[in-house]
Amino acid sequence: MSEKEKLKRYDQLMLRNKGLIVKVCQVYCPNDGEKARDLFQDIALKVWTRMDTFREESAEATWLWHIAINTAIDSIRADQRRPQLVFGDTLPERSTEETPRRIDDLYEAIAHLPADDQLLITARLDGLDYHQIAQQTGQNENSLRVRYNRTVKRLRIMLKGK
Amino acid sequence: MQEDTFLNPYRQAWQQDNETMEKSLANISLQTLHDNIARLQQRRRRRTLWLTLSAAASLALLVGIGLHLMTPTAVEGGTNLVAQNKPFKEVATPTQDAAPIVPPIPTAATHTTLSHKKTTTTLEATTTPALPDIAMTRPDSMTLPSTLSEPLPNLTTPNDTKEPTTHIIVTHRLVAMGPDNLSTNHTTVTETRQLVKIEEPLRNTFHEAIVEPLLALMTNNLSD
Repeated sequence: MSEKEKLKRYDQLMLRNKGLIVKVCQVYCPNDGEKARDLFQDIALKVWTRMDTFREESAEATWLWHIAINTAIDSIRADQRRPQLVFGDTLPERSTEETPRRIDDLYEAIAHLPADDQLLITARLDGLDYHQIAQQTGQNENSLRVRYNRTVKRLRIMLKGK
Repeated sequence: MQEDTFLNPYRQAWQQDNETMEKSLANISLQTLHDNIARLQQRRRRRTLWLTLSAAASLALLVGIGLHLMTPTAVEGGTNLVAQNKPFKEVATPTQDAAPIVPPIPTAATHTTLSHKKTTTTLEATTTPALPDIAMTRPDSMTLPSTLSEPLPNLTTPNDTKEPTTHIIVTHRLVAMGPDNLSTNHTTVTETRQLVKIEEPLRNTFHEAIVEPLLALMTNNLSD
């Protein structure tokens, strides 16, 4: 595949799946537009470097979701390794809301799920039904239902104390 | 069905956040992503070039070290003539007119107390005239032959009539002079199986410049 063809294919892939990357940024960088923009571009670059690893037999959305999640986790780890602000430095931007939102707890809980379960939950939050999710991920509808119920139970436990 | 309603309280906030995030990321165009890719590829090219150059430099360094280690040293304790860029002298080809051959050097190391300074000398062989006698009084520990010209015992074999083929290297070790340690000075002769011929001018020079003054000095010291 020539460089030009690869770039064309990349553009199509990104246009089709931009929404997925936005959701990853939403889950991993809520309330931080700047960080979300950095993460989006990091994911986009990672997708470019992994273009050759994509096999047609796997669903494009699943493949891309895994890349996006792994990049987000790496990015968060890198942030944690960076030195934290000390007294006297500019304080990080605070959320405009006084009280923490319930949805932020949900983001945090989702971030602790396995990648496939994250994709399933965010797709359900987007309002997609099992048939649509099955088409996107290439998985069986029934198994998606079973997995969804199991994941929701897990989320309940995680959010119980919140 | 209870699980299906679990996400309902979150849906509205989720949709709002999603719209906000899409707006926030809307200014990232495909062109921006292409620019990022171009930068990434440039960075990779630079890194590849740097790695290649580093590898080449390391290889060159290793080769240099290897060559340095393989450079021969004339004699242990002697001077590395190659490192000093000094060519070894060629061995003179014997001719019909060549003088008779001096008897071979003994296979065992010959000791002398006359060494004065640390040098490595390549001696070539051409000549025969006997060295002048070294008539002197010396302690028993000194093993210098009384005359350098007289044949050394047990050194001649039937095959010794062969022509000399290589030079010999004689190393003189410098040891602080003095009556107490005279007997520790020694000269080591290598290439013991070769016939020895000492070039006359060289030998004379060596004698005049080193041996005779030393003998005089030693004589004076001993007589003191």
